[in-house]
Amino acid sequence: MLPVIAVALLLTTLRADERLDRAIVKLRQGDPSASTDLIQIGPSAVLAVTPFLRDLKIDVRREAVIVLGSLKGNESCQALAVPFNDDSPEIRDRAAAAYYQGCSRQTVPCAAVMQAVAKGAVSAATILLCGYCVEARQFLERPPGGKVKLEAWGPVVPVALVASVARLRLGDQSQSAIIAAAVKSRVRTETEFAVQVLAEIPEGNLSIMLPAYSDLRESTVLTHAPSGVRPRRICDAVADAMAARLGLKLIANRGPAGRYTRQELASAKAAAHAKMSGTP
Amino acid sequence: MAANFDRVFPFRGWDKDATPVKWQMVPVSATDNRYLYLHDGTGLTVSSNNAAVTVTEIRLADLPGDWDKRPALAGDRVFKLRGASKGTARIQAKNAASTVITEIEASTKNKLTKKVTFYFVRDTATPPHRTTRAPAEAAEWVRVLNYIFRQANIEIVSPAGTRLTFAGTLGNPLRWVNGTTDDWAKLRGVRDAGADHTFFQIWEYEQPSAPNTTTGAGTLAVDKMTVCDNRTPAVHSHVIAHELGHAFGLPDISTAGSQHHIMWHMTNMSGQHLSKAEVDLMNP
Repeated sequence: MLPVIAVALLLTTLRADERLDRAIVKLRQGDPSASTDLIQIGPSAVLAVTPFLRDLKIDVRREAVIVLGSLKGNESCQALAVPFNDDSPEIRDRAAAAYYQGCSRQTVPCAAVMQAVAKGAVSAATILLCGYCVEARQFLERPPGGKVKLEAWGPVVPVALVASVARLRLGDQSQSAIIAAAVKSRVRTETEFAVQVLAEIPEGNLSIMLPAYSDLRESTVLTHAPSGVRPRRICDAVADAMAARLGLKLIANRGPAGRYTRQELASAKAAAHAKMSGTP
Repeated sequence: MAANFDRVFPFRGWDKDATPVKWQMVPVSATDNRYLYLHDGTGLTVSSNNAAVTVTEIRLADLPGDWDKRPALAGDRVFKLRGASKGTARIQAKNAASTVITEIEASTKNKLTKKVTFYFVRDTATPPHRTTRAPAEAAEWVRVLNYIFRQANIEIVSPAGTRLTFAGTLGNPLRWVNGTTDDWAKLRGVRDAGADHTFFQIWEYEQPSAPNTTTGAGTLAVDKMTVCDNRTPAVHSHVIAHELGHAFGLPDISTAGSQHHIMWHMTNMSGQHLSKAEVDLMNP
């Protein structure tokens, strides 16, 4: 029986190798379906994909970054530091976004992040990663002008606001008032951004988010309903995000597309406030 | 007529309604340039006030021979704009006394490439539900999408259209109900993990909308997917462009005089235009 199992295992391995070979051929050609195949193959593809991060063709490098960003894991995340120094801003931004979304904040490749900063035209993800690198302080204090967005769907906000979030993350308490102002801002996108990057706000500063529980403005960014369906409000999104951050269980569960009642929002806010102030 | 700048090619990121002055998007690129006519500008000196955009006068005969070139008027001068780095410049035409006679604003944009996968869905119901559209259509859609999104210096790249057989039964119509326990969620589970956005071409789609309206497509940017049915208007690629506009951060618009925009809320009557504000939202 054992030889049969061995042969079966060998055949499976050969088939997997063949599949990887075929996907790598596609990758080498810059075929946009290569990443789909390689992601399906899984972590065993990481080693084969990594050299393509330095390919001359941008289509190939893009596919390689997509694969590593999707597969995550230690090896992928370490490899993603390479394209932070890519000549193409698109590839640098993709790498930073992939790292920001899928990799550990404990091991942010600060040298690579600083290389990306030095190349200019930094993305929101790069700036937020600066919040984990003390050597980025000087850059964050004098960020470039312009606007950025963290996700394709927005919101678009000034670079300075993103830098403030990163500075607060680095312990600069003077930025707390700036984020608090963004939470209460008449400019909806600034409030949306504050909710979007809630994970970056240190626990000791979370009380600045409380005014958002009363924010009835509809958000196309924080919603989980398709275009054309009544969107969520900022208050609904912040209630869920704060509950997740503080480990609270909300009495009502409206799902990611639903709206809370005024009473439910008041109760969620009170629970968050109690948790933050340490009262039972 | 007073001197004024005008676009040479349509749908290259020109917004004549931008305030305070007309606006032109210029790619940061050595090769992908933008071109302007200067009507009635004899004797004026044209310059850029920011090195982010360089401006060079060229001969009419040196314009690219693209099919959609607008004809020049008698006496027109032609200028080439090149984006050297990220920034915003004023392109100004001045007289001998250095008075600005006419000007536009030009903003440079880095190229964004978005990878969109088109799945042509059928399920395993008996009889199966399936889209009547063919994967071969996707290539033509991508051509139109790139014509439209060129206004924002966004390029759509796409693998060849793929038939997707969903192992299971999906509704007819397929409905978005809550996004977590419905058919939408089932499709989300099979989207292309290697794509920035997955476009599911299905048979019939419905979602809770305003009374007396029908919905042929829905996009949820957070889910990085669109579901679109067979019943959309003749120019299907415009519907796709509209939905991708949502994916890239644009809301519907319904203000009077905006019907020529791709984001006009009724996609069966929309145009292809993207305004400065919309370009800035998609590609800040």
